[in-house]
Amino acid sequence: MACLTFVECSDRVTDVIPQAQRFGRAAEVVLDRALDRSVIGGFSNIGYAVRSRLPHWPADPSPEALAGATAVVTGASSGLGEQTASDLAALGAEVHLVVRDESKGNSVRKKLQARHPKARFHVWRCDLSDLNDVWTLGERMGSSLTSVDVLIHNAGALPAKRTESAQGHELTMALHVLGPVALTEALLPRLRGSLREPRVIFITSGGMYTQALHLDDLEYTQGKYSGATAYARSKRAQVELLETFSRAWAPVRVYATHPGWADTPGVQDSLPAFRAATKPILRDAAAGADTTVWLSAVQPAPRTATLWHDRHSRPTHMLPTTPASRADRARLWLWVRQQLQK
Amino acid sequence: MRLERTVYTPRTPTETFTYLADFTSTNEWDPGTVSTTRTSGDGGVGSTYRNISQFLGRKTELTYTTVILRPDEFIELMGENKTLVAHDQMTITSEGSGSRVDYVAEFEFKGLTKLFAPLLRPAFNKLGDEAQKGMTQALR
Repeated sequence: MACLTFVECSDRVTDVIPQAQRFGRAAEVVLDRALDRSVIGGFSNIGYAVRSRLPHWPADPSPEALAGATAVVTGASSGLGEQTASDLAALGAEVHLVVRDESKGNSVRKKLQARHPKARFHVWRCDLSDLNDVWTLGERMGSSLTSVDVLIHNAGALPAKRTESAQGHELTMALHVLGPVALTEALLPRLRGSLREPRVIFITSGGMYTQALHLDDLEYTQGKYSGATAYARSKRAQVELLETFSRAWAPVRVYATHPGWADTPGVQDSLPAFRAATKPILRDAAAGADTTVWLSAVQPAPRTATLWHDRHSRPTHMLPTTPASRADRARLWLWVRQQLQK
Repeated sequence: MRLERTVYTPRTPTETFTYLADFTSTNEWDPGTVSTTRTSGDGGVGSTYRNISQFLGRKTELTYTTVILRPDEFIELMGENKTLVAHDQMTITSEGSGSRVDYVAEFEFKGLTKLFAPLLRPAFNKLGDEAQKGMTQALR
Protein backbone atom coordinates (compact mmCIF):
# COMPACT_ATOMS: atom_id res chain seq x y z
CA MET A 1 0.00 0.00 0.00
CA ALA A 2 1.92 3.04 -1.22
CA CYS A 3 0.86 6.28 0.43
CA LEU A 4 2.20 9.74 -0.11
CA THR A 5 1.23 11.18 3.25
CA PHE A 6 0.27 9.82 6.61
CA VAL A 7 -3.21 11.23 6.24
CA GLU A 8 -3.67 9.60 2.88
CA CYS A 9 -2.34 6.37 4.31
CA SER A 10 -4.81 6.65 7.15
CA ASP A 11 -7.68 6.96 4.67
CA ARG A 12 -6.54 3.94 2.72
CA VAL A 13 -6.17 1.78 5.80
CA THR A 14 -9.64 2.80 6.92
CA ASP A 15 -10.90 1.70 3.50
CA VAL A 16 -9.80 -1.82 4.33
CA ILE A 17 -12.20 -2.10 7.27
CA PRO A 18 -15.32 -3.16 5.30
CA GLN A 19 -13.27 -5.80 3.50
CA ALA A 20 -11.93 -7.14 6.77
CA GLN A 21 -15.48 -7.26 8.06
CA ARG A 22 -16.55 -9.23 5.02
CA PHE A 23 -13.79 -11.79 5.39
CA GLY A 24 -14.41 -12.21 9.09
CA ARG A 25 -12.28 -12.79 12.12
CA ALA A 26 -9.20 -14.19 10.37
CA ALA A 27 -8.90 -11.08 8.19
CA GLU A 28 -9.25 -8.90 11.28
CA VAL A 29 -6.44 -10.74 13.01
CA VAL A 30 -4.21 -10.38 9.94
CA LEU A 31 -5.00 -6.69 9.67
CA ASP A 32 -4.41 -6.11 13.38
CA ARG A 33 -1.02 -7.84 13.28
CA ALA A 34 0.04 -6.17 10.06
CA LEU A 35 -0.63 -2.80 11.69
CA ASP A 36 1.34 -3.79 14.79
CA ARG A 37 4.43 -5.01 12.91
CA SER A 38 4.43 -2.01 10.57
CA VAL A 39 4.88 0.14 13.74
CA ILE A 40 3.73 3.40 12.09
CA GLY A 41 0.41 1.84 11.18
CA GLY A 42 -0.18 0.32 14.60
CA PHE A 43 1.30 2.86 17.01
CA SER A 44 -0.28 5.93 15.44
CA ASN A 45 -3.86 7.12 15.59
CA ILE A 46 -4.40 5.12 12.37
CA GLY A 47 -3.99 1.89 14.30
CA TYR A 48 -6.46 2.96 16.94
CA ALA A 49 -8.95 4.29 14.38
CA VAL A 50 -8.91 1.06 12.43
CA ARG A 51 -8.85 -1.42 15.28
CA SER A 52 -11.53 0.23 17.38
CA ARG A 53 -13.94 -0.06 14.43
CA LEU A 54 -13.38 -3.75 13.83
CA PRO A 55 -16.29 -5.98 14.91
CA HIS A 56 -14.12 -8.00 17.32
CA TRP A 57 -12.71 -4.98 19.14
CA PRO A 58 -13.04 -6.12 22.79
CA ALA A 59 -16.11 -4.60 24.42
CA ASP A 60 -15.90 -1.55 26.66
CA PRO A 61 -16.08 -2.27 30.40
CA SER A 62 -19.57 -1.74 31.83
CA PRO A 63 -20.15 1.83 33.10
CA GLU A 64 -19.99 0.67 36.75
CA ALA A 65 -17.15 -1.79 36.24
CA LEU A 66 -14.93 -0.16 38.88
CA ALA A 67 -17.61 0.93 41.37
CA GLY A 68 -16.15 0.51 44.86
CA ALA A 69 -12.63 -0.06 43.50
CA THR A 70 -9.51 1.81 44.59
CA ALA A 71 -7.01 2.85 41.93
CA VAL A 72 -3.61 4.50 42.27
CA VAL A 73 -2.17 6.35 39.27
CA THR A 74 1.33 7.82 39.30
CA GLY A 75 2.28 10.81 37.17
CA ALA A 76 -1.38 11.81 37.22
CA SER A 77 -0.99 15.58 36.87
CA SER A 78 -0.94 15.66 33.06
CA GLY A 79 -1.07 13.71 29.82
CA LEU A 80 -1.86 10.02 29.89
CA GLY A 81 -1.88 9.86 33.72
CA GLU A 82 -4.52 12.57 34.01
CA GLN A 83 -6.59 10.95 31.25
CA THR A 84 -6.29 7.52 32.89
CA ALA A 85 -7.36 8.92 36.27
CA SER A 86 -10.36 10.59 34.65
CA ASP A 87 -11.42 7.45 32.76
CA LEU A 88 -11.03 5.21 35.82
CA ALA A 89 -13.24 7.60 37.80
CA ALA A 90 -15.81 7.47 34.99
CA LEU A 91 -16.02 3.71 35.61
CA GLY A 92 -16.66 4.30 39.30
CA ALA A 93 -13.19 3.99 40.85
CA GLU A 94 -11.92 6.09 43.74
CA VAL A 95 -8.67 7.46 42.33
CA HIS A 96 -5.46 8.35 44.14
CA LEU A 97 -3.32 10.71 42.10
CA VAL A 98 0.38 10.44 42.83
CA VAL A 99 2.13 13.60 41.66
CA ARG A 100 5.50 15.27 42.06
CA ASP A 101 4.09 18.81 42.09
CA GLU A 102 1.35 19.07 44.68
CA SER A 103 -0.17 22.34 43.46
CA LYS A 104 -0.39 20.98 39.92
CA GLY A 105 -1.94 17.83 41.36
CA ASN A 106 -4.53 19.84 43.26
CA SER A 107 -5.56 21.82 40.21
CA VAL A 108 -5.93 18.61 38.19
CA ARG A 109 -7.98 17.15 41.02
CA LYS A 110 -10.33 20.17 40.89
CA LYS A 111 -10.69 19.76 37.15
CA LEU A 112 -11.41 16.04 37.44
CA GLN A 113 -13.79 16.61 40.35
CA ALA A 114 -15.79 19.07 38.25
CA ARG A 115 -15.93 16.55 35.41
CA HIS A 116 -16.91 13.64 37.70
CA PRO A 117 -18.90 15.19 40.59
CA LYS A 118 -19.70 11.84 42.21
CA ALA A 119 -16.16 10.46 42.08
CA ARG A 120 -13.60 10.69 44.87
CA PHE A 121 -10.06 11.86 44.15
CA HIS A 122 -7.05 12.19 46.45
CA VAL A 123 -3.67 13.77 45.82
CA TRP A 124 -0.41 12.37 47.17
CA ARG A 125 2.92 14.11 46.63
CA CYS A 126 5.92 11.95 45.82
CA ASP A 127 9.05 12.05 43.69
CA LEU A 128 8.98 8.47 42.43
CA SER A 129 12.67 8.53 41.49
CA ASP A 130 13.57 9.08 45.16
CA LEU A 131 13.34 5.76 47.04
CA ASN A 132 13.07 7.42 50.46
CA ASP A 133 10.15 9.45 49.21
CA VAL A 134 8.54 6.30 47.75
CA TRP A 135 8.90 4.37 51.00
CA THR A 136 7.35 7.26 52.95
CA LEU A 137 4.46 7.37 50.48
CA GLY A 138 4.06 3.59 50.71
CA GLU A 139 3.77 3.76 54.49
CA ARG A 140 1.28 6.62 54.40
CA MET A 141 -0.86 5.00 51.72
CA GLY A 142 -0.61 1.60 53.33
CA SER A 143 -1.99 2.90 56.61
CA SER A 144 -4.67 5.03 54.96
CA LEU A 145 -6.08 2.61 52.35
CA THR A 146 -7.68 -0.72 53.19
CA SER A 147 -7.10 -2.21 49.76
CA VAL A 148 -5.71 -1.30 46.35
CA ASP A 149 -7.29 -2.92 43.31
CA VAL A 150 -5.40 -1.21 40.50
CA LEU A 151 -1.91 0.32 40.64
CA ILE A 152 -0.76 2.13 37.50
CA HIS A 153 2.89 3.05 37.09
CA ASN A 154 2.59 5.88 34.62
CA ALA A 155 5.08 8.50 35.87
CA GLY A 156 7.94 8.93 33.44
CA ALA A 157 10.66 11.24 32.20
CA LEU A 158 13.05 11.45 29.28
CA PRO A 159 15.97 13.61 30.43
CA ALA A 160 18.11 15.50 27.92
CA LYS A 161 21.27 14.89 29.96
CA ARG A 162 22.29 12.02 32.21
CA THR A 163 20.66 12.81 35.54
CA GLU A 164 20.95 11.03 38.86
CA SER A 165 18.23 10.34 41.39
CA ALA A 166 18.50 11.16 45.10
CA GLN A 167 20.16 7.77 45.63
CA GLY A 168 22.55 8.27 42.70
CA HIS A 169 20.77 6.07 40.16
CA GLU A 170 20.36 7.02 36.52
CA LEU A 171 17.04 8.83 36.41
CA THR A 172 15.03 6.73 33.95
CA MET A 173 15.99 3.49 35.69
CA ALA A 174 15.12 5.03 39.06
CA LEU A 175 11.81 6.45 37.89
CA HIS A 176 10.59 3.62 35.64
CA VAL A 177 11.90 0.57 37.48
CA LEU A 178 13.25 1.09 41.01
CA GLY A 179 10.55 3.49 42.25
CA PRO A 180 7.64 1.44 40.85
CA VAL A 181 9.01 -1.80 42.33
CA ALA A 182 9.46 -0.11 45.72
CA LEU A 183 5.93 1.33 45.61
CA THR A 184 4.38 -1.97 44.54
CA GLU A 185 6.12 -3.84 47.33
CA ALA A 186 5.09 -1.24 49.89
CA LEU A 187 1.48 -1.62 48.75
CA LEU A 188 1.63 -5.39 48.22
CA PRO A 189 -0.38 -6.28 51.35
CA ARG A 190 -3.09 -3.85 50.20
CA LEU A 191 -3.07 -5.28 46.66
CA ARG A 192 -3.25 -8.82 48.00
CA GLY A 193 -6.13 -7.68 50.22
CA SER A 194 -8.17 -6.75 47.15
CA LEU A 195 -11.21 -8.90 46.43
CA ARG A 196 -11.37 -7.98 42.74
CA GLU A 197 -8.47 -9.53 40.83
CA PRO A 198 -5.86 -6.91 41.75
CA ARG A 199 -3.57 -5.72 39.00
CA VAL A 200 -0.43 -3.67 38.54
CA ILE A 201 0.08 -1.99 35.18
CA PHE A 202 3.35 -0.55 33.92
CA ILE A 203 2.99 2.06 31.20
CA THR A 204 5.88 1.11 29.01
CA SER A 205 6.85 2.39 25.58
CA GLY A 206 7.02 0.96 22.08
CA GLY A 207 10.54 2.43 22.14
CA MET A 208 11.59 -0.61 24.18
CA TYR A 209 11.27 -2.70 20.99
CA THR A 210 14.51 -1.09 19.79
CA GLN A 211 16.58 -1.95 22.87
CA ALA A 212 17.97 -5.05 24.53
CA LEU A 213 18.83 -5.25 28.21
CA HIS A 214 22.23 -3.78 29.04
CA LEU A 215 23.00 -5.75 32.17
CA ASP A 216 26.62 -4.62 32.18
CA ASP A 217 25.62 -0.95 32.23
CA LEU A 218 22.24 -0.58 33.92
CA GLU A 219 23.17 2.89 35.18
CA TYR A 220 24.19 4.08 31.70
CA THR A 221 27.68 5.22 32.65
CA GLN A 222 29.33 4.02 29.42
CA GLY A 223 29.15 5.57 25.96
CA LYS A 224 27.48 8.81 24.99
CA TYR A 225 24.27 9.31 26.95
CA SER A 226 21.08 9.57 24.96
CA GLY A 227 17.90 10.27 26.90
CA ALA A 228 15.78 8.43 24.33
CA THR A 229 18.01 5.34 24.54
CA ALA A 230 18.08 5.44 28.34
CA TYR A 231 14.30 5.78 28.33
CA ALA A 232 13.87 2.82 25.97
CA ARG A 233 16.31 0.67 27.96
CA SER A 234 14.47 1.33 31.21
CA LYS A 235 11.20 0.48 29.46
CA ARG A 236 12.80 -2.72 28.13
CA ALA A 237 13.75 -3.55 31.73
CA GLN A 238 10.09 -3.18 32.80
CA VAL A 239 8.98 -5.61 30.11
CA GLU A 240 11.75 -8.14 30.80
CA LEU A 241 10.74 -8.20 34.46
CA LEU A 242 7.02 -8.90 33.91
CA GLU A 243 7.27 -12.64 34.52
CA THR A 244 9.48 -12.30 37.57
CA PHE A 245 7.17 -9.62 39.00
CA SER A 246 4.23 -11.97 38.49
CA ARG A 247 5.88 -14.81 40.41
CA ALA A 248 7.11 -12.52 43.18
CA TRP A 249 3.82 -10.65 43.64
CA ALA A 250 1.28 -13.39 42.96
CA PRO A 251 -1.67 -13.57 42.98
CA VAL A 252 -1.49 -9.92 41.87
CA ARG A 253 -1.47 -9.77 38.08
CA VAL A 254 1.17 -7.68 36.39
CA TYR A 255 0.81 -6.15 32.94
CA ALA A 256 2.52 -3.63 30.73
CA THR A 257 0.74 -1.49 28.20
CA HIS A 258 2.31 0.69 25.57
CA PRO A 259 0.19 3.61 24.47
CA GLY A 260 1.55 3.91 20.94
CA TRP A 261 2.48 7.40 19.83
CA ALA A 262 0.39 9.82 21.82
CA ASP A 263 0.55 13.59 21.88
CA THR A 264 1.37 14.29 25.54
CA PRO A 265 3.30 17.01 27.40
CA GLY A 266 6.14 14.48 27.81
CA VAL A 267 6.49 14.10 24.05
CA GLN A 268 6.09 17.87 23.51
CA ASP A 269 8.91 18.66 25.94
CA SER A 270 11.33 15.81 25.26
CA LEU A 271 10.85 14.87 21.62
CA PRO A 272 9.87 18.09 19.79
CA ALA A 273 11.32 16.91 16.46
CA PHE A 274 9.50 13.57 16.64
CA ARG A 275 6.31 15.42 17.47
CA ALA A 276 6.72 17.87 14.59
CA ALA A 277 7.22 15.00 12.13
CA THR A 278 4.38 12.85 13.37
CA LYS A 279 1.86 15.42 14.61
CA PRO A 280 -0.89 14.48 12.11
CA ILE A 281 -0.89 10.87 13.20
CA LEU A 282 -0.26 11.19 16.94
CA ARG A 283 -3.00 9.76 19.12
CA ASP A 284 -4.87 11.90 21.56
CA ALA A 285 -4.56 11.13 25.29
CA ALA A 286 -7.85 9.19 25.33
CA ALA A 287 -6.63 6.76 22.67
CA GLY A 288 -3.27 6.52 24.46
CA ALA A 289 -4.91 5.66 27.80
CA ASP A 290 -7.64 3.42 26.36
CA THR A 291 -5.95 0.03 26.79
CA THR A 292 -4.71 0.83 30.30
CA VAL A 293 -8.22 1.73 31.43
CA TRP A 294 -9.74 -1.29 29.68
CA LEU A 295 -7.14 -3.60 31.27
CA SER A 296 -7.84 -2.08 34.71
CA ALA A 297 -11.48 -3.05 34.48
CA VAL A 298 -11.89 -6.06 32.17
CA GLN A 299 -13.20 -9.24 33.75
CA PRO A 300 -11.99 -11.87 34.05
CA ALA A 301 -8.51 -10.39 34.33
CA PRO A 302 -6.34 -11.66 31.48
CA ARG A 303 -3.28 -13.87 31.95
CA THR A 304 -0.56 -12.17 33.98
CA ALA A 305 2.89 -11.10 32.68
CA THR A 306 1.56 -9.86 29.35
CA LEU A 307 2.17 -6.76 27.24
CA TRP A 308 -0.87 -4.95 25.79
CA HIS A 309 -1.61 -2.43 23.09
CA ASP A 310 -4.98 -1.58 21.59
CA ARG A 311 -6.80 -4.14 23.76
CA HIS A 312 -4.74 -7.09 22.52
CA SER A 313 -1.71 -8.79 24.03
CA ARG A 314 1.38 -8.15 21.94
CA PRO A 315 4.78 -9.77 21.49
CA THR A 316 7.48 -8.37 23.77
CA HIS A 317 10.05 -8.41 20.97
CA MET A 318 10.08 -7.42 17.32
CA LEU A 319 13.82 -7.76 16.72
CA PRO A 320 15.88 -10.96 17.04
CA THR A 321 18.59 -9.07 18.94
CA THR A 322 16.54 -7.98 21.96
CA PRO A 323 15.41 -11.10 23.88
CA ALA A 324 17.22 -11.62 27.19
CA SER A 325 18.00 -15.04 28.65
CA ARG A 326 16.12 -16.22 31.67
CA ALA A 327 19.31 -15.99 33.70
CA ASP A 328 19.76 -12.35 32.65
CA ARG A 329 16.20 -11.54 33.67
CA ALA A 330 16.89 -13.09 37.07
CA ARG A 331 20.10 -11.06 37.32
CA LEU A 332 18.24 -7.85 36.52
CA TRP A 333 15.69 -8.64 39.22
CA LEU A 334 18.45 -9.37 41.75
CA TRP A 335 20.11 -6.06 40.86
CA VAL A 336 16.81 -4.24 41.45
CA ARG A 337 16.36 -6.02 44.80
CA GLN A 338 19.87 -5.02 45.79
CA GLN A 339 19.22 -1.32 45.05
CA LEU A 340 16.08 -1.47 47.19
CA GLN A 341 17.87 -2.63 50.32
CA LYS A 342 17.41 -0.01 53.01
CA MET B 1 15.92 -29.63 30.09
CA ARG B 2 13.06 -29.61 32.56
CA LEU B 3 12.44 -31.84 35.56
CA GLU B 4 9.17 -31.85 37.45
CA ARG B 5 8.49 -33.77 40.64
CA THR B 6 5.78 -33.59 43.29
CA VAL B 7 6.21 -34.39 46.97
CA TYR B 8 3.51 -34.69 49.66
CA THR B 9 4.28 -33.98 53.28
CA PRO B 10 2.30 -34.00 56.54
CA ARG B 11 3.99 -30.70 57.47
CA THR B 12 2.17 -27.36 57.16
CA PRO B 13 3.01 -24.96 54.31
CA THR B 14 4.79 -22.67 56.79
CA GLU B 15 6.99 -25.47 58.13
CA THR B 16 7.66 -26.75 54.62
CA PHE B 17 8.52 -23.28 53.30
CA THR B 18 10.83 -22.51 56.22
CA TYR B 19 12.65 -25.78 55.75
CA LEU B 20 13.08 -25.55 51.96
CA ALA B 21 13.79 -21.80 51.75
CA ASP B 22 17.06 -22.49 53.57
CA PHE B 23 18.92 -24.10 50.69
CA THR B 24 21.39 -25.78 53.10
CA SER B 25 18.51 -28.21 53.69
CA THR B 26 19.71 -29.88 50.45
CA ASN B 27 22.40 -31.41 52.68
CA GLU B 28 19.56 -33.45 54.17
CA TRP B 29 17.09 -34.06 51.36
CA ASP B 30 19.11 -34.09 48.14
CA PRO B 31 21.12 -37.30 47.75
CA GLY B 32 23.01 -35.69 44.85
CA THR B 33 24.33 -32.94 47.10
CA VAL B 34 27.74 -33.49 48.67
CA SER B 35 27.60 -30.19 50.55
CA THR B 36 25.77 -26.87 50.52
CA THR B 37 27.00 -23.88 52.48
CA ARG B 38 25.64 -20.36 52.62
CA THR B 39 28.26 -17.94 51.33
CA SER B 40 26.41 -14.61 51.72
CA GLY B 41 23.18 -13.06 52.93
CA ASP B 42 20.79 -13.98 55.72
CA GLY B 43 18.79 -16.54 53.75
CA GLY B 44 16.62 -13.86 52.12
CA VAL B 45 16.46 -12.86 48.45
CA GLY B 46 19.99 -12.38 47.07
CA SER B 47 21.58 -14.85 49.51
CA THR B 48 24.12 -17.14 47.87
CA TYR B 49 25.01 -20.77 48.48
CA ARG B 50 27.92 -22.91 47.34
CA ASN B 51 26.58 -26.29 46.29
CA ILE B 52 28.78 -29.28 45.49
CA SER B 53 26.94 -32.11 43.79
CA GLN B 54 27.89 -35.56 42.63
CA PHE B 55 26.77 -36.02 39.04
CA LEU B 56 27.76 -38.91 36.74
CA GLY B 57 30.57 -39.82 39.09
CA ARG B 58 32.03 -36.31 39.09
CA LYS B 59 31.85 -33.46 41.54
CA THR B 60 30.28 -30.28 40.18
CA GLU B 61 30.16 -26.94 41.91
CA LEU B 62 27.29 -24.50 41.46
CA THR B 63 26.62 -21.09 42.98
CA TYR B 64 22.96 -20.75 43.89
CA THR B 65 21.22 -17.42 44.53
CA THR B 66 17.80 -17.00 46.12
CA VAL B 67 15.71 -15.09 43.56
CA ILE B 68 12.17 -15.06 44.98
CA LEU B 69 10.68 -15.94 48.37
CA ARG B 70 6.92 -15.71 48.75
CA PRO B 71 6.38 -16.83 52.34
CA ASP B 72 4.62 -20.19 52.69
CA GLU B 73 3.99 -20.35 48.94
CA PHE B 74 6.93 -20.14 46.60
CA ILE B 75 10.72 -20.38 46.42
CA GLU B 76 12.92 -19.66 43.41
CA LEU B 77 16.66 -20.08 43.11
CA MET B 78 19.13 -19.82 40.28
CA GLY B 79 22.28 -21.94 40.21
CA GLU B 80 25.16 -21.34 37.88
CA ASN B 81 28.59 -22.54 36.84
CA LYS B 82 30.64 -22.47 33.64
CA THR B 83 28.55 -25.08 31.83
CA LEU B 84 24.99 -24.58 33.01
CA VAL B 85 22.36 -22.42 34.64
CA ALA B 86 19.74 -24.11 36.83
CA HIS B 87 16.40 -22.50 37.64
CA ASP B 88 14.70 -24.16 40.60
CA GLN B 89 11.13 -23.35 41.59
CA MET B 90 9.24 -24.86 44.50
CA THR B 91 5.53 -24.17 44.78
CA ILE B 92 3.94 -25.08 48.12
CA THR B 93 0.20 -25.52 48.48
CA SER B 94 -1.80 -26.80 51.41
CA GLU B 95 -3.14 -30.30 50.88
CA GLY B 96 -5.41 -31.79 53.54
CA SER B 97 -3.67 -31.25 56.88
CA GLY B 98 -0.24 -31.14 55.22
CA SER B 99 1.18 -29.72 52.02
CA ARG B 100 2.24 -30.49 48.53
CA VAL B 101 5.50 -29.33 46.94
CA ASP B 102 5.76 -29.00 43.17
CA TYR B 103 9.41 -28.83 42.30
CA VAL B 104 10.45 -27.68 38.84
CA ALA B 105 14.10 -27.59 37.85
CA GLU B 106 15.09 -26.25 34.46
CA PHE B 107 18.60 -26.36 33.06
CA GLU B 108 20.05 -24.09 30.39
CA PHE B 109 23.34 -25.40 29.05
CA LYS B 110 26.15 -23.17 27.88
CA GLY B 111 28.51 -23.62 24.95
CA LEU B 112 29.32 -27.10 23.70
CA THR B 113 27.45 -28.80 26.54
CA LYS B 114 24.27 -27.88 24.63
CA LEU B 115 25.19 -30.47 21.98
CA PHE B 116 25.25 -33.48 24.24
CA ALA B 117 22.73 -32.26 26.83
CA PRO B 118 20.01 -34.61 25.49
CA LEU B 119 22.29 -37.55 26.35
CA LEU B 120 22.21 -36.45 29.99
CA ARG B 121 18.44 -36.89 30.20
CA PRO B 122 18.49 -40.32 31.94
CA ALA B 123 21.03 -39.07 34.49
CA PHE B 124 18.91 -36.01 35.22
CA ASN B 125 15.79 -38.14 35.58
CA LYS B 126 17.60 -40.29 38.14
CA LEU B 127 18.66 -37.13 39.98
CA GLY B 128 15.01 -36.03 40.04
CA ASP B 129 13.77 -39.39 41.32
CA GLU B 130 16.34 -39.46 44.11
CA ALA B 131 15.60 -35.89 45.12
CA GLN B 132 11.88 -36.67 45.23
CA LYS B 133 12.50 -39.65 47.51
CA GLY B 134 14.92 -37.68 49.67
CA MET B 135 12.55 -34.74 50.09
CA THR B 136 9.63 -37.03 50.96
CA GLN B 137 11.72 -38.63 53.69
CA ALA B 138 13.14 -35.39 55.04
CA LEU B 139 9.68 -33.79 55.29
CA ARG B 140 8.01 -36.70 57.09
